[in-house]
Amino acid sequence: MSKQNPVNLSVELAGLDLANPVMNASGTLGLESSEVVDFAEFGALVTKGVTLEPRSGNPTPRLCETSCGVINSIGLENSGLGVFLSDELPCWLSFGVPVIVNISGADVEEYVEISKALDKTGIAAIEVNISCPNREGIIIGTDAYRSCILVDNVRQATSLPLIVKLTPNVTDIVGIAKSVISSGADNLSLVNTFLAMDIDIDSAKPKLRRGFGGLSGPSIMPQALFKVWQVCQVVNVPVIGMGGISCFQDACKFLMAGASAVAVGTANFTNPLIIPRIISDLERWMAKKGFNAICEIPQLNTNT
Amino acid sequence: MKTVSHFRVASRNPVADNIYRLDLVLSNGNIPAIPEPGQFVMVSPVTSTSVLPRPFSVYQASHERFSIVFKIVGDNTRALAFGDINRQLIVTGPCGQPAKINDQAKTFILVSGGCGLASLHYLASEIRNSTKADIILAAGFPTAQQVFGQNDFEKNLEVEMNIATDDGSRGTKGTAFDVFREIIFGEENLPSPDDIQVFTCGPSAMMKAVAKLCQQEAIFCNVFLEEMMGCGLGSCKGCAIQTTSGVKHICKDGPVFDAMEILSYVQTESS
Repeated sequence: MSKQNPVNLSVELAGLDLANPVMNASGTLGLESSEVVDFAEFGALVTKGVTLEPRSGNPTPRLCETSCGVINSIGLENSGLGVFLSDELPCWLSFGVPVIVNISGADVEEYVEISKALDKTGIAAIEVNISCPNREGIIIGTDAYRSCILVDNVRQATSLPLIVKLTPNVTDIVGIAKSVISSGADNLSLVNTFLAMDIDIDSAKPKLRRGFGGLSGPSIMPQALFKVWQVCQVVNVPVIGMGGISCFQDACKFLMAGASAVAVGTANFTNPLIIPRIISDLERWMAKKGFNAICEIPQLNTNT
Repeated sequence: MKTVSHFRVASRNPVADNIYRLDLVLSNGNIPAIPEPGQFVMVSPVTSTSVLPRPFSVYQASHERFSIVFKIVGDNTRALAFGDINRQLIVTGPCGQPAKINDQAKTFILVSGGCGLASLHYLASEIRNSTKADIILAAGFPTAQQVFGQNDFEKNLEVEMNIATDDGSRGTKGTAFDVFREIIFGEENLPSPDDIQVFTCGPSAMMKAVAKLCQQEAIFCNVFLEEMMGCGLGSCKGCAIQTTSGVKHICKDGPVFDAMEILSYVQTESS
């Protein structure tokens, strides 16, 4: 006797169909992790940031644990676009799951060049990272005008669905969100990490060699949730919510705040099997609640 | 095979002041490969405020069980040391590359500082089992209160522990490096440099001093490195190290490196 599963976890983003709404946040699970966790179970796979040229990243220490969080200043260490396309992308595509390639450029031209090279490679979407706190120069995503120009150019360079990843380190994230949508962003992902630092009091030196980095983990969850809710109130494109999600309850909260899908980052370190766990817990919870589809999960009700 | 599995704390015992040994047995999940000397495991955090797993070197291992020896340095290691017997821990591993043992070597010299000795114990037992070479151990500790492992080395492995303590309360007064230098310059029965292999694990300053002396004496030296790690698998790029062949990662390409491969590390002064 076969048992029909009544719960349908699939979600649709702009130009992107996912079997379930849970993916990894960029930079937290690489191909190396596929040895211990089954990537085929993920809703989507998000690569680490790809840059045009190889980058060796920032000096170490690059990581420092804080209460319920971690500050990183990795600095986009990666092998560069060439090696990514020849050696890594075929592996990413082998899991039968939509692959989202996160890209980062030093200037508009680099973003455009990477985007062009990714066209017709079999990937599902490009995540345009305008919010990395760990590379030189200004963070494009803190400036609505620069963000517009960048997304506009990338939009013209590729027909792939675009996800624009926003930084929380701004006064008005809604304004930035509207700007990049007006320039052609199909989806948004938020939030990237919060700028942060820690100090070793014995040496009076920063715990990270670079001095500061981006904070992630459960300590940022309520702030991330608020930003996602704020943005979802006013935009009409799908949002991938992220920031400190470490259990299915957290994932539910982002979906209730208006996100169409969620990404899990730091929690992959705490437990490398957390994404399959969140997916199965979410499914079980939905079955118990009688929700047959993700869209049946109620939206936040702020009426008293 | 590398796995993420649940291990049960079968026993936990203090082995010295503030230093504990946990014996762990597989309780649930896929069966991981038996770690090889040099490899390590990531133990997921046990306090609610901690998000990163911690790398632990393996003190001893067999099928579906292994032991770790560690110093209490914070809330998480304290919780591990005093946690309940039978508590389940999420363990990822074995991580990293096995140490490369030169089976032609006639003498192995192991140099440890503090808890670095834990990494060298499993290595010493492998060297004992697979070669007929001499093993000389120089082990440094802050004081006599932190000395551990003497029985394991001297009775079980028949490796004499040449102890140094910072305050002279046990063995010679000084560091493991001082003992090592004595061995290199004073030991009459040492074979030629080509037939010696050195492994060192401990504080950075000590390992750098050992590696520099080895470089000067043309002795093959292997350094056990440690760094903050996010994943232990090579995904997060947290534990990068500059090598003569580009950026590598301590978790995936190490943690044991040929000292000549990490010259820029060896040559920087410790802060």
